Amino acid sequence: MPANSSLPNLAAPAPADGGTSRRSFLRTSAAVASGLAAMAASLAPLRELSDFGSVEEFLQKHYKELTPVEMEQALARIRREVEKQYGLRPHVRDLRPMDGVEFVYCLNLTRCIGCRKCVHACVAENNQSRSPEIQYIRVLKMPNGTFDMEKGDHHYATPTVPEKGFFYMPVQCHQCKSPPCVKVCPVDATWQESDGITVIDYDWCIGCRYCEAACPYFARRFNFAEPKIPKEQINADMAYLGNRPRHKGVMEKCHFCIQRTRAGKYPACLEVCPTGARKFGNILDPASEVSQILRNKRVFVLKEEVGTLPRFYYYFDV
Amino acid sequence: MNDNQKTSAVMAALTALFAGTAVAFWTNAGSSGGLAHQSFTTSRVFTNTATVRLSVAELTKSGGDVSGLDCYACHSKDKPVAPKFDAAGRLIPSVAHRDVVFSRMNCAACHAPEEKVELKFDTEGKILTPAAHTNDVAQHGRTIGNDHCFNCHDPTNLTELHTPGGKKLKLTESTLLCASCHGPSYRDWQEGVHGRHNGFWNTKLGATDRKDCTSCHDPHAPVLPRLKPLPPPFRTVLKGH
Amino acid sequence: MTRSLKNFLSFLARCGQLACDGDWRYYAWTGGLFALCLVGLNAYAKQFVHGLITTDMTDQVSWGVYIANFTFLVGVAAAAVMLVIPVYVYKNEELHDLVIFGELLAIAAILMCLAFVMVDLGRPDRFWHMIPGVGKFNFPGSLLSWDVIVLNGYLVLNLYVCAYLLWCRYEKQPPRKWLYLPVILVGIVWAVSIHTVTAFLYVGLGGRPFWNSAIIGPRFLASAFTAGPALIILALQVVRRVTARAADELPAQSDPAAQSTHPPAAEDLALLGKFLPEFHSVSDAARQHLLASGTVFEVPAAHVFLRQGARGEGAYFVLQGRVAVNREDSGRLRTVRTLGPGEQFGEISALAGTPRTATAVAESPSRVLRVPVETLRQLMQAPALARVIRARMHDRLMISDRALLTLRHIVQVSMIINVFLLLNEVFKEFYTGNLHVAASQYLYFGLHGHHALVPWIWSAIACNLTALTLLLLPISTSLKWLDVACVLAIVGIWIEKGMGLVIPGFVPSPLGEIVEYSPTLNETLICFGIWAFGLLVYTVLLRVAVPILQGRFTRTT
Repeated sequence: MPANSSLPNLAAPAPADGGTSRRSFLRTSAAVASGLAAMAASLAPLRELSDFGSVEEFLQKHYKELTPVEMEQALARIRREVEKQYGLRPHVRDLRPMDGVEFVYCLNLTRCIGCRKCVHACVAENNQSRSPEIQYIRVLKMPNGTFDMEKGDHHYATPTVPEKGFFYMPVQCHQCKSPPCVKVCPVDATWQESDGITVIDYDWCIGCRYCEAACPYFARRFNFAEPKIPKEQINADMAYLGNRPRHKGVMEKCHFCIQRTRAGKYPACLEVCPTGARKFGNILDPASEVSQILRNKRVFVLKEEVGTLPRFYYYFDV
Repeated sequence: MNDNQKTSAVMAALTALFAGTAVAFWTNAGSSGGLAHQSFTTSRVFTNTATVRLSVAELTKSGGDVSGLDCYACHSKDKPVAPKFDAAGRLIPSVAHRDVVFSRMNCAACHAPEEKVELKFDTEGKILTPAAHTNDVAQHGRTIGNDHCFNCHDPTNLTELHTPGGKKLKLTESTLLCASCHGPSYRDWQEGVHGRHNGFWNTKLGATDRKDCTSCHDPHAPVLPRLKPLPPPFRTVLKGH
Repeated sequence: MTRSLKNFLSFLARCGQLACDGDWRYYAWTGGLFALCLVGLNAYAKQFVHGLITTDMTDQVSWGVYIANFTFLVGVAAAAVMLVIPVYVYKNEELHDLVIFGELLAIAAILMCLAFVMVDLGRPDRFWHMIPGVGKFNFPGSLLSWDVIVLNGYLVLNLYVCAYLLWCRYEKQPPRKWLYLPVILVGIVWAVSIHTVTAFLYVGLGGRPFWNSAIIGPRFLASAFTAGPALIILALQVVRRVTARAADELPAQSDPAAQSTHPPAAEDLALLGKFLPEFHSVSDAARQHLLASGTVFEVPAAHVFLRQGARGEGAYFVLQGRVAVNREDSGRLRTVRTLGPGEQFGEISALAGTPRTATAVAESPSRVLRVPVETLRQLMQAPALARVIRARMHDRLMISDRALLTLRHIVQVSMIINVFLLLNEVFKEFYTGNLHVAASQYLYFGLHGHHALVPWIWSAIACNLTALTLLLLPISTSLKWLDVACVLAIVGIWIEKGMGLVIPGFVPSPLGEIVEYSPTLNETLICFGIWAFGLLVYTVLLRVAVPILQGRFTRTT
């Protein structure tokens, strides 16, 4: 038989020398055993995994497929988890959209002074992670005369605002009528409700971040780590699709303070704005302030050419 | 070295390699590859929805103490008040009025409780206007200079206001006085488009709280005070390097 | 049916045994790769515990090196089809036996793609949400759902084709055309679709002007068809080297006088008919002619029947014993095939009148029947026999230099198109000066003081242009320079399609913010682990496939 050093001769008889095959058995077993030990040891970091979700959460169906009983079970589970993690009993409910309501947001660029109170009120209201920091609203400081966002400054920290020669433009989720994020989600974890709010089922999202790539407004945020919120700053008034605490690996974003607005209140960002630059309401009600604005003021939307049809309108006083 | 010996050598090397990596994994389990968590808390001032000042209307509505607003506590009815003007014709604000005006500022609207704001008082216990808040009292109008006190205040009755047309208004009706010049803003305000409109958008479920003009605009210095901006977003730093 | 299933399962079991068997080089290579896999697994365990914060991804740059590798590897997987098209559409015989190497590479590449996607997910435990019927599948709206379907389908397709063809060779049965040819032809379309769908993942995002361009799809295909065949060229040379030995290791030829010949007797034809049943279907006239013109050789081991490069006009059928067909390429000798009773050699050069493509030498004392070419033609008038002989013509592991040069030609043309499309892109981005150029500006020149990617992209362009130059020059017909060009092309395309495509799409952010990205150590280790896993899979697949293709690993050996 010609010697072919790379391939064993399968037709060759077993070695007559018992010592060789015993040696080969031992050396193979040693390598295999140590290989398996190394494989087990490589998973050692999993020892630190303390916050793995419950089986209930793993098997939970999509929000739109939950029966009322299953929804109650899910809410009870969330109450238990929040109580365990933060030591307070939250008021979690599943608020449904109201009929005859389509929410619209208007922002007065003449009045915004860039104080960022909206950013932080939102963080407090919606139980956003403080570390790593998540903020749904981003305020851009733009020089007068341009809308080129590359010229915007996100990190201004002047002693006072507003600064002369600039205007301030807060950006958050526009709850677009033709949302690219909804189009691209592979598992339907984000969709638009009848009142116009684009919502996320945090227990369904797989964290692929395709929606984050698709959003033209930098509206969506991902939990790269388990959120850290100081216990005393938790807002206990929660909604399933809104501000209940999220976990690592899922997306979140502005949802027009769904726990407030579906109860008839204004969102937190509007409440705290010192100049009244933010306006919110039901566009289907012709007497609402947002209807008035769209009728009487010069409004525009960002990146209109992308075709998202935002429900967030910027306007000037005159 | 023949093939068999080479194989033995390789197997031995692999065994050592696997054993070594097993030990490394087990002992290195704690390291998380470099996490950077930035710690950040939200101060309560960020969520304060109060207006920067307390208007007379607000004060009256909420049943607050309006005794300090009694003009005839200091002025006598038969002696008219004479405002002073400088060489350029600008009003020289009276020190006493500066304190009155300032005492209705709502510190908590902008300052956090934990911030140590030091108020200074004069010998009579009145607040001294801090340097940071020395608005030019009576700077109503940048071009026309609507500085004359009696453009708005009624000289014959200091507890009342009057419009340019002569209509008399109570202090709690000051909004109508603003409207007599600022028509477009007033119309917007009526519709809720201008100013602060808080509470419930759905009036069937609750009341909407509409603040009047003087809750935000000090009629003596209507330009809104500049605020200190709250912290910017954490600038994403390189992690794990 | 159940017997076939049993046979197939025993085939798989034996493949498993074969995969665990090898020489010291095999153990060192696979052992080292396994260790690297474990390092990656350990890094992933950390990421699983702490979340994706162990990477350098941010809300601004939300995809990174995982998706970059995924994009590159989908292209490699699609490029397997670049062997299939010349063989099945243009009937190129040189590449025929190499199709399987491309498809095995596709399997390994797809597995790597799936691994990269899984490590990128925030909640990989929720992957079941993507299963249609069980979860909620946004098809046809979401391009990601399309990608899930086409990638898994492509994996199944290639697994089926490879398993079927290898199993047929193992069973020494000619594969039934209708069981694999339609699948292969579907595979051609499917391969183009997997990469087009992946391109559309990016193109379909209107808010990202760097990606929202029609040229991304064609560029993906052009760069895939450059890098994929380049990888195959390199892989095939590794296979050649590993299955070869130096030309002077060939044992000394036996004494020519030790052979004996005689005309065929009825007993010889009976032996042939026993191992080649289709022989019974030849006409009596042809049988008579064979008895008259054929010669039977009885030879000891190491007897050489025919030599590579020589002229000869006989075809041979093995009656007893084993014959090895060896080929010398670039100074290295490889066993192309080993033949047992009933199998043929020398028939291709006999029928075509071309020089012998290999050397046939007896591995053990053998009895072989030599058939002159006119007799062979007469025998092949029997359709059943002709079919078997033609099918078996391709049962060999011929990684000839000509095959590699055909692949070179594919890489050359694809690279020309790739560079041309790059020039198109560059013009479109920079000529008008509109604001959408910001991302390209960042990539090529830096933007507002941020220039992390600039050295990378220019290195990639340098690699690609050098590779293109080498490929256009005749110097790359020499394997050494071809290898250099291939390595340069692979590196260049990995950079420009991976980091050079994914990251600039996020810079600047939709609100004009610039946040840069540079993979963390943990991310890099996970990538290494997955690459090691892919190489390990490919190694094991080749470890099983090569002996089957050589005829050394069959049901009877």
